[in-house]
Amino acid sequence: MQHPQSYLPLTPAAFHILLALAEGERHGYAIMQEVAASTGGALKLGPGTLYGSIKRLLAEGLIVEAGERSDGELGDERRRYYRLTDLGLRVARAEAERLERLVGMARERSLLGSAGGL
Amino acid sequence: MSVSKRLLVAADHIYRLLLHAYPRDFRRRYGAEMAQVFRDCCRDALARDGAAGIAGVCVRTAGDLLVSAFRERAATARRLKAPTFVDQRSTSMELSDRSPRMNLSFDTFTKRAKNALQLATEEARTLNHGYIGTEHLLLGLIRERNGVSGEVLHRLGVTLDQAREATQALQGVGQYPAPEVQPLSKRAFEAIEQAIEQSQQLEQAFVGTEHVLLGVIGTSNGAAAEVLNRLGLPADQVRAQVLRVLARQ
Repeated sequence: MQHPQSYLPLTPAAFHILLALAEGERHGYAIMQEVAASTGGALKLGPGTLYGSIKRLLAEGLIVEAGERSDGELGDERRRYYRLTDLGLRVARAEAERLERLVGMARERSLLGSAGGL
Repeated sequence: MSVSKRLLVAADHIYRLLLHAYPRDFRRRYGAEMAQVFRDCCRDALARDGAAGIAGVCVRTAGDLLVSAFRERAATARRLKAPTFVDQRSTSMELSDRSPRMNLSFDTFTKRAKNALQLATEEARTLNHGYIGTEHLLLGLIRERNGVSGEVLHRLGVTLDQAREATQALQGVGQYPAPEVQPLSKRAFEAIEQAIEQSQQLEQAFVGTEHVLLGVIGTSNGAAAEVLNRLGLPADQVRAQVLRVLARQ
């Protein structure tokens, strides 16, 4: 199997979608809401950006479709759910580690507070 | 109907019309889900901020539509230039665990051989298979009737319907539609490598359908060989027939 590193860097939209799915299966609108909530509304994925990213993540095998069912809170309409694959999880982890190293470098260069304090 | 309800219906209607900005395949696969998400956004915005909320969603979604429709159209245009089965990442994915001899080049394939490969991706898609295996390559070769392989297989009495049936009996039908990019299976990849080698061994400048067929039946334990077996045709018999036809040329 392809090394997770070879998928990096992820686009912000792709990384946020993987993060939203790390907690479990979600449908498109739930992913969108989760991304908006976790970024304090800074990242609002429109439907086109959302499904364009989902399409690419499916093609690369980072996520899979997880069947259709209705979401109790949103009424009876059936929705297609998506789920993270093992590869997707490892790629998300690799991306998080990459970003962590970048943040570490920013700290060393005093762009952020030192590792110990704020 | 209340004003707000009418607003929701109108916004939904307009958005579904605007979905035609996206390439057809993308719209067919994701259009319904996108419209559903858009309706969800509008409904929640209406509940939160009234009509102004819907207006905000519409402005944001218009920007999203412009950017993402352009991106999807550009992606489709790029894909149309190269046959879909030669996706860079998927072939390199197959290759990375294997030989260092990396890039499969389809440049030397004849038009019919390329067409057979394209038909193979269609056959895989029809069965909702997320990969292209030797069994799909075989179906593609049968469908490309004008090629040497098509002729050989038809002369041996193989029909497309029988082969499809046998493939379906062997591999089943996938539950979900295949992703847009279907990687070559390891054996299909080997079959194509073998096809290139066969053509080189026979000192031919091009890789034709006959070489692809030799490659497909040459892979050990491949699904294509099993399909032919079920049709009462051992691989050796098919190989002998191909070589006979080639010797005549």
